[in-house]
Amino acid sequence: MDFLLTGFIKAFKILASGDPEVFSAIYASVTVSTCSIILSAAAGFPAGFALGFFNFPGKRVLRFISDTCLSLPTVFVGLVVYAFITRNGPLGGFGFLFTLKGIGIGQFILSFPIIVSLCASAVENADENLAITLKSLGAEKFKFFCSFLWELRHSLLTAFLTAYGRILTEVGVSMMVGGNIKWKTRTITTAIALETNKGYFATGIALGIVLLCIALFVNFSLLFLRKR
Amino acid sequence: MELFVIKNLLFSYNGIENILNVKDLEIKKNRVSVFSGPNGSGKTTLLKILAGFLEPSSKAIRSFVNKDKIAYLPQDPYLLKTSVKKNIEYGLKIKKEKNISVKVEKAIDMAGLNSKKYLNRKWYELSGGERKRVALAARFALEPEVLILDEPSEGIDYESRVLLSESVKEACRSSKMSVIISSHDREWADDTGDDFFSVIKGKVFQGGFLNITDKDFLKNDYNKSSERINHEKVLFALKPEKIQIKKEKNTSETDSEYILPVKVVSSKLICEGRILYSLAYKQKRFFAESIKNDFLPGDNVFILFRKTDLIPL
Repeated sequence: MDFLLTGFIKAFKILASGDPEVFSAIYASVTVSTCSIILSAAAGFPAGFALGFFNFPGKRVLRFISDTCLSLPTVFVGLVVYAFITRNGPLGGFGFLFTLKGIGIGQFILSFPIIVSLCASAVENADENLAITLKSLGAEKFKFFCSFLWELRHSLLTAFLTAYGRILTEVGVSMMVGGNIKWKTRTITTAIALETNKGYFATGIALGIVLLCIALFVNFSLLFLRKR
Repeated sequence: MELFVIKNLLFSYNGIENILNVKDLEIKKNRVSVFSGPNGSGKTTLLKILAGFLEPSSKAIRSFVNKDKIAYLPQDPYLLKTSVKKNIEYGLKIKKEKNISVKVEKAIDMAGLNSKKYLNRKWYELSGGERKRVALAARFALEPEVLILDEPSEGIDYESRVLLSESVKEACRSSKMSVIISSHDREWADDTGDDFFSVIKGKVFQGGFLNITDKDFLKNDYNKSSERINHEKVLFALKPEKIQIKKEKNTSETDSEYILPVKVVSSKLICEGRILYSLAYKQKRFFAESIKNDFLPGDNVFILFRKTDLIPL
């Protein structure tokens, strides 16, 4: 127990001292995950709405693929993205390997199906009179889409937070595509893995506490959406 | 003036053939038209088709109103997850109306709600009846030409039902609104409506239905087999204008006529001095028109009609 207690005390000292190496990892994690989730939400909510609301040929196949992607292994996504953006890969010319942009691509692939599938489920399970009511009150096209999703905001918020949690805490993509380069692509999770392996347990705990605090902060800042 | 003219309307859904099969139906403007019938008879389907939410299999409807001027209130209305005020404002803002607050106040009054008490309430602070009236106010605010209400009186208390009936009649009178209602609450429907239609097994008729169980009549005039008469309900539709009401049984009727003892339930004055009587025969309600105003609710009277006017269902 002393080992744990000492670890926590040291962790708070590291955070209080403003260790630049730790804060570099925090900055990298928050920046890349936030950009990825914003892009995923921007593309995923319309796609999820279309998948849940409309009937079209191939809908069931798309839904099956999207649902399967919910459990994509992060290391596998890292491997695929690595294969595409490595110097000899089809997107090698863009120079994304071992950059935050490269990690962002992987995280987008991880979070997009979560948002699409959970949004589609929310739309499918929405009150059948919601669409009729909006149309009857004159909502059309973009207004209809926005109002429909706004009415489902509680379910969609859960989808958003689930996806954000998944990419903020993933290691596979960050390790394989980012390369865990100090001051550049080292994220909180890759730093925890590395520092713990090196025996710097306190630094690992400090970064773990930061991850928890970020999750709490994001949840708290979106609390207004949960209000009735 | 016609509002909708329907000829040979067929509607099938999810592989079920002919949920609706309407041969000939005319709904008039500036009237409260009520469609009554048992659950699952096709009332909601018909209303959704009229509102434009369902496409019939055949192009059988001639509509004399712009689709944008139709407001539809479903059986279980959905309220937006916000305040009563914003629910009512929603449609007005989309249509970029002016004087929104005045229109909101007027609409909430028309729906029989106290604006001071209700405007700032949230959707979850309302009872079932209040929700229905807020949803109705949101439709009133749009000042539609046609208001279609699906079972508006269901699930609300007596006082609210009376208020709702008054609101609908007032909207029809003062705002020149045509109102189409489905209801299986016959008493409320009789009190609210101007024109009455019955819906049964997807078929729609003006007036009501007669459940004639006179075995000789059925056997001789309709050639029904004894087995069918004993095991099936034999229902007939009869148009209100084809029925004569008499105080006493007159024995002078010919073979082609039929006489039945019925009870007067209610009466109301309709256009051109004619009276529409709501009558009851063996727990079936139907309507008859007359120019006489001699019959009072509760009176036992007789109706006379030609056998050839009966439409077997």
